[in-house]
Amino acid sequence: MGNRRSNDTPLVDMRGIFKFFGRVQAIRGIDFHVDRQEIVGLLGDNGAGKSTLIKTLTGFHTPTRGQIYFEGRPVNIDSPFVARELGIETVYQDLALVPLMSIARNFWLGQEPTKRFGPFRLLDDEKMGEEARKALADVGITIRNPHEEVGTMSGGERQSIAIGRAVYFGKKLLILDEPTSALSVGETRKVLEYTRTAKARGMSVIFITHNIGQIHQIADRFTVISHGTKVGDFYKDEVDEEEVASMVMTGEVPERLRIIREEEMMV
Amino acid sequence: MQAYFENRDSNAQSGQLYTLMMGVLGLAYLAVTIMIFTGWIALGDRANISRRDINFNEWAVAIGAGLLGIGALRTAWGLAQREKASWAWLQWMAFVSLLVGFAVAMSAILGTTQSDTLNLERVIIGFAGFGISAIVYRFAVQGSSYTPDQRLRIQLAESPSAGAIIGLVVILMGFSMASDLFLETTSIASILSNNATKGIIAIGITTLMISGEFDLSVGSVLGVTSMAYMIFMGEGFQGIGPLSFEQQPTVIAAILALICACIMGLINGILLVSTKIPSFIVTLGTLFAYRAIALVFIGGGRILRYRDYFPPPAEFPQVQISRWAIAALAITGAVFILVTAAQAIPQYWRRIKKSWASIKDREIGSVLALGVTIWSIMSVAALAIVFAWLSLVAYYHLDRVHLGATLGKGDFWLAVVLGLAGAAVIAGINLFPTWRKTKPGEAYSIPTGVTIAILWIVVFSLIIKVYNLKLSLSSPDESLPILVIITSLAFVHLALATFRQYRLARQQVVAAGEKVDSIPMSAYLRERGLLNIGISVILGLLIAFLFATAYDLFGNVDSPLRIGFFDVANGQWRFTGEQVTRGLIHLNIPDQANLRNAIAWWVILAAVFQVILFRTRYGNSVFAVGGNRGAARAQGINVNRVKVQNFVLCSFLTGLAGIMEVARNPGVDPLKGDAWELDVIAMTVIGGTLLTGGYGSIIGTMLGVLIFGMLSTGLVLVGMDSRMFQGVIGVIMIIAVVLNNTVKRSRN
Repeated sequence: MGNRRSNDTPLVDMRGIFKFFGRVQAIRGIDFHVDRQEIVGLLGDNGAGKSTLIKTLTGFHTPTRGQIYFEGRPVNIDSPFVARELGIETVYQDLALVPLMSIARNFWLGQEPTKRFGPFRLLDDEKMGEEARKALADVGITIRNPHEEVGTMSGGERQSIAIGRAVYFGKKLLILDEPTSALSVGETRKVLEYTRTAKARGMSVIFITHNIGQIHQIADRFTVISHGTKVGDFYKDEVDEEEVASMVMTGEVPERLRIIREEEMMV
Repeated sequence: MQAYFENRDSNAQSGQLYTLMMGVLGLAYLAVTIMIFTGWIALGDRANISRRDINFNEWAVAIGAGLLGIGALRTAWGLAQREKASWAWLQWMAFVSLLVGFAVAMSAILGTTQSDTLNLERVIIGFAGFGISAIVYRFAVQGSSYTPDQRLRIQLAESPSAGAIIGLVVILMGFSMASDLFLETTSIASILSNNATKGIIAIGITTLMISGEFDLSVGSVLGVTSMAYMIFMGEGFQGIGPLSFEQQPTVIAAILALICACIMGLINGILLVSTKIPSFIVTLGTLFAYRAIALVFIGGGRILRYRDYFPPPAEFPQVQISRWAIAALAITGAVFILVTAAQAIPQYWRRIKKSWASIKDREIGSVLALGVTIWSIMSVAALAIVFAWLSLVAYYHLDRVHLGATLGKGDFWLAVVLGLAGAAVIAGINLFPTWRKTKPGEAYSIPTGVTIAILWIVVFSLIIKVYNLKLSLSSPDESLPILVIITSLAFVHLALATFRQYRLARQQVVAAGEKVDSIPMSAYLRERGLLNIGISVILGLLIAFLFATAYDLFGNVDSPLRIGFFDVANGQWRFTGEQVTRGLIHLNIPDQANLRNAIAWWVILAAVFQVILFRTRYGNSVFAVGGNRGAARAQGINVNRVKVQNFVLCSFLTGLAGIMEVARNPGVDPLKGDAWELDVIAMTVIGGTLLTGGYGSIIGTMLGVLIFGMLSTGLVLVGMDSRMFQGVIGVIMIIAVVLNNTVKRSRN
């Protein structure tokens, strides 16, 4: 943790996280933090433990050992609902939206606006459609018809909507789990753009991927993990793409960086 | 065609030709209607039956032809006026006529299999109609962006139940052509009555299936609930400690039975959520387990019969309701409406002043505005007078019965004054659209106004003549029916006026060049406080009904109202149009036609659940849970809770169905409801609901229920071996699913 440039309390600070599934040790003592308005690329090969780490943060798993601090306060995230209340929004590769529901319904899912109808509360479809369209337009996403089914849309459009939703509801942390792995080049660029918008609006972003090439332009910092342990944290100006790529593959910190790190430690 | 509407005379001939054709078509349709009423056209077997007894088919055809005739004439008029909208009308009329012509020709040809001679005239007329309509249609759709058949196809593709709709039409047409008996009242009644209870269960299964689960145990739940209801009602239940019940009155027994059903659903849900076993296994297990309960309790080949507990001199269970309670409810409602209306007095007063000013300034159309205003005030005054009258009659009645006072002349004037006061309050509602308009034709146009007036007069004189009614204070009982009817009509009129106002406001906004979306209906109504009026319309009808019940239009005031519980749950409808309309309409439900109240419950529950599924947060979460569990969970929806709730809901509906079954046939054998689960799941799947969850609709399921019912009745009627039924159902189910998938794929 010696390598931090900000002195503020980090938005998220996960300390000494362990997660065991029976005898499988998925994560072994990872420290991970995200500062405010920071885009962190969480990198690692398949099976390195990225997703497990993130799922302990979003409440799908509870860590076997370790403590999570959110805005400096220790928190116990034992369900997705708690994570949501804290302001953590996750956009999963295929879990973000319900394909058979309309954009507007997806957008508002779980917090739909209603209007009173006598003693009953009915969904306000018009408001849902209109506000969803406006909100997405604010982030720079134009949609044709808010009542269109999500299933008819492309992967990039879906990711965009999920990101737009997170931004609209004023979340603090956006987690993107392999958001671009199924997208075309153009769509990927768009998603990256929206990620920047999210940052500009004050959110922090964790961008999980095993493809360094995609996020090198937008990320502020990379955290590389391998075989359930952290290889290291590196700011963008410290490393180049190839070094990160080799770390992801080998799990070894290159000689040059190791020296820098040790020097910092000495100071 | 475009040119015709743009008033370019070079192309006027085609427009005039279409006008002429639509006119002729309209007259032809109206002629059919008249000919049916006069007996020139007879549908079905009519030997030795009085001409006055028009059967159901004839009523349907006459009404249909009448509507089409009016539509065609309206189109012709629109074409003559070069109204742009009449182009679309023309297309639709041609499209419908094409289908009608084809149906007429085909039914004449296929009908020959049963009667001996081919009705050649009908075949020729049918094909001629088909051919001409096809040609008109072909030319009328030229250059339009969406033709009716395309529109239909798009609508169909967007509907979850496309397969069911197509199947329903095909099966209905097939059976009605193959067997004359199929469209008889008795057949329709048996289709509906025999499947309404299954339909109620299917609502629950649909909800469950949309959330991605399903329930095989509903048949057993139905058996246990019916049994529990019977046992609680008949002999009580000897359990351990507090779990013992004495014999209970019927309502309590029903509630206890429903609680049993909910507990069974809860067990299903909790088992599923806690063990994470697929619902197929869980509910297969409980299917056997719950059945065992019924088998153990009704041991030894016994059948629980209501008559064994309460032998014949005893009546079927009855519920008593005090008339005071009903009257209190009605008066509360009336007060609510008047208070709501009174809140708007200042606003209305401003409007009245303004409209008076416009008359004084001799603005264009102000005289018409005054006329409409007077008309509005009159109709609202009628409403208010009726209200006041009802209140007074209530007072009088309660007095006569309990205090011994009588109603004097002064009371009558009081009623009038009250009525006028009420009218002044509510009149503004109807005044609203009239003063705003600056030229004639924007509010009620003269033809519309005259039509409405004539309709009112016709309706009133008919009612008064048929019932030989009079308004008299000395015999309020006699006056009540007409008062109730006037109230209802006035409320309907108010409702129409409300919607009309909305349309006018919308037109004005459009005319001002703003976006139409900027005034959604709901916002408009809320803003004007008219949503309240909409609610009062419904409330008013309810109040009128309650008043009628409270004073017991046809009976005794003293005693409490007694309602047979079994009649409410699932009694037979006995409706004779002759009696109700005093011989004016010969529309009777024959005694052998077994229409039952479960049908009404089915429709009501289906409507309620359609709203719940599509217009509430809960419904949205049901779709989300079935469509993408992970996404739902990530958005903070408690997936497990939704699933458990759905299981309880499904069992609750099954319990309701069980009680209705007992009400229809007061006996329970241990195998009651056996194998129903498969029928119900088949109905739901035919209706287009996905087994994998996330997609489906209640309306689709209703169609599935109808298809199922039509097949079971129709196959017997066409003389097919009834043992084939299950095979046919299986094939149909697979075809329906394939159809649904094909339609869905063609959309994407």
